[in-house]
This record gives sequence, structure tokens and C-alpha cells, in this order.
Amino acid sequence: MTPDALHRTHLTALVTGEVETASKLRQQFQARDHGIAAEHLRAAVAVVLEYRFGPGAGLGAGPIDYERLGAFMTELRQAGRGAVPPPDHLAVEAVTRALYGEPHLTEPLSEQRRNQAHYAALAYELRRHEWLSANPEHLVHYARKRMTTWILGRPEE
Amino acid sequence: MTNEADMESDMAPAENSALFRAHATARLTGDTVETERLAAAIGDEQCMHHLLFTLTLFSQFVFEELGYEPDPADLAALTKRLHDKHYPPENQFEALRAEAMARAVTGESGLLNEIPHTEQAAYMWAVIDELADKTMTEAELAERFQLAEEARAEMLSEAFESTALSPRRPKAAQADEAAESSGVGETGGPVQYAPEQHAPAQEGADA
Repeated sequence: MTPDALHRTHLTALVTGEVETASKLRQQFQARDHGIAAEHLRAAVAVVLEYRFGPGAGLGAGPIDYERLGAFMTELRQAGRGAVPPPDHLAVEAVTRALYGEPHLTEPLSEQRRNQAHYAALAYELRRHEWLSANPEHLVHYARKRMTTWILGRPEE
Repeated sequence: MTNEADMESDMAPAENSALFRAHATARLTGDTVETERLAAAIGDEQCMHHLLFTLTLFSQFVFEELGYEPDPADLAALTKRLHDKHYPPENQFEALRAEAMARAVTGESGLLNEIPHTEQAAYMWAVIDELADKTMTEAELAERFQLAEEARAEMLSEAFESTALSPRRPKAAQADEAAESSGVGETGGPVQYAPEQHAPAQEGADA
């Protein structure tokens, strides 16, 4: 599998909730792949959060609508009640606001905490919008476009 | 043991108060040597009183500088300043946790369950340092401390009254007391941790 296909397949597995598959694919990762996979995940989160917080996530939009953010966090906390270990909701708030003009909020977070927070946000939004999880290709496509823009500074031709 | 329990329901002993005030003064005036010396003098048995002193002093600053319902944009700006000030050198500093402490005393008290307890005092001091006017006179400081101590005494008496341990009181007596104590807050604002109108606190507490 080419590195490109590997990351596409890995992100697809995350989107469809196939954690075992995702975990197996990660065994093929080279050192640098972990960072690339983290960026794919962040891009997917940017795409899904735009349905809630508006366009431009990770592209310079912001500040976030704090009222909507409050509603999002309340939903997440209700969904995560009683979970062991307790979910790191503040980290989810950090990654969310980071995509809307407050990137400094994620600077102190380890890559692992960032990934977990991104995954929590993604998984919650996928459960909430069934049409998103029903069309993983759509989401993966747009996530990869978002990454291209981040890397090249513009969309692919 | 019974003596200690009795003391906790009273106003803090005077020597606690003097020590906490001296420590806070040193902290607020940037005297790090004196701050460390006094911090070391605060014994294990005083921890609860000191935590409450810090929490109520912190609340005073948050209420005065940001209001009872802080504007999220003001909070975000504060958080950015704190990040820029503390993050690179003390790289465990999570500015969002400092912001969350301020939100915890202004209606989102459930956040106290999400910020590690061992870090809460440090984040409160970081916020106080940022909000405090460094040119405060001794008299102004003394007024802050007085308000903080009154708020603490009020919180303690409320806490004891709300437990199943305390004997039931007739409703009229409670109403009288509430009327009395509300007078206290009028100069500096009611530091009551706004228990009733902010129901989310209760939801989070027993999760």
C-alpha cells in the first residue's frame, strides 16, 4: 500500500468506526506517519465541525460562536457522563476553538491528547449526523482536500 | 477532632488569616522569596482554609475584572495573554485550564471536576496575577482580603447548613439569615458561588 493509500484507508477506518482495522494499519506506520495521520484526523474534524460552526475551520475563520460552542460542549458532557476514565472535555474545547482562530489552545497538549480530543469530536459528530457516517468517502475526500490546502496554502488544481 | 470540627464552622482563626493575607500580599507584589517562605509556613492542617481563602480571593478578582457573566471574548483574550506569558517557559501551562477556573466561579462550576485538583491553585494565582492591579495600596488589598474572608465564612456556614448532619431549622430562621448575609456582599458583590441559578454544577458533581 502506498503511504497515500495507507492514510486514506486509515482515516476511512476511523470514520467508519473500524477501530481494529485502524489499529492494524497503524502497525504499518513509519515514524513520520503518526504525524501525518494526526493531520488527516484534524482535517476530518475541521470538515465535520463546519456543519456546526460555519465554514473556514482551520482556514482562518474565527472567533467561534461561543454560544454554539457552549451548546456543543453541553451535549458532549451529557453524552460522556459516567464514562471511565472521564473524557477530557476541555481538550475537545481546545481543539475546537483551535480550528477557529485560537491555535495556541492546543500547543500545550501532547499529540496523544490532541488525537484523543479530535477523535472524540469526530466520533460524536458522526453519531449525530448519520448521513456523514453513511458516506465516509465524502468526508475523507473533503478532509484530504483540506489537508492539501494546509500543506500547499491553496486548494489543489 | 471535635475541636477542629468546631473551629471549621467558625470564622478562621486570626493567625490563619494573617498568614494567608501576608502570603497573598507577597504573591501580589511579586516578592517571590517571601511568597515561598510564607507558603512553606502554611501547614497541612490549614490547607482547607487556605484553599477557600484563595478560591474566594480569586472569585473577587474575576467578578471585579470580568463580571459575574464574563464575555467569552474577554475570557479568550485573557487566555491568550496567559498562554503567551506562561507557555514557553513553564511548558505544562494550559491556559484553557486557567480560563476554566474563571468560568468555574462564574456559573460553570462543573469545570472544577475537569481541572486537576493539584493544579487549581496555580491556575488561580496565574489569573489573579494577570488581573490584579499591581499598584494596589495596602488598604485596597486589605479590603479584598476582608471580602474574601467574609465570602469564605458565608460559604462554610452554607455548606454546613446544607449537610444532613446539621439539625433542621425552621424556614423562617433560614430566610432571616439569608437576608442578613446578603447585606455583606453588597459592597463587593454576592460571593455565593451562585448555587441555585446555575444548575449545571449539580449535574456534573455526581457524574
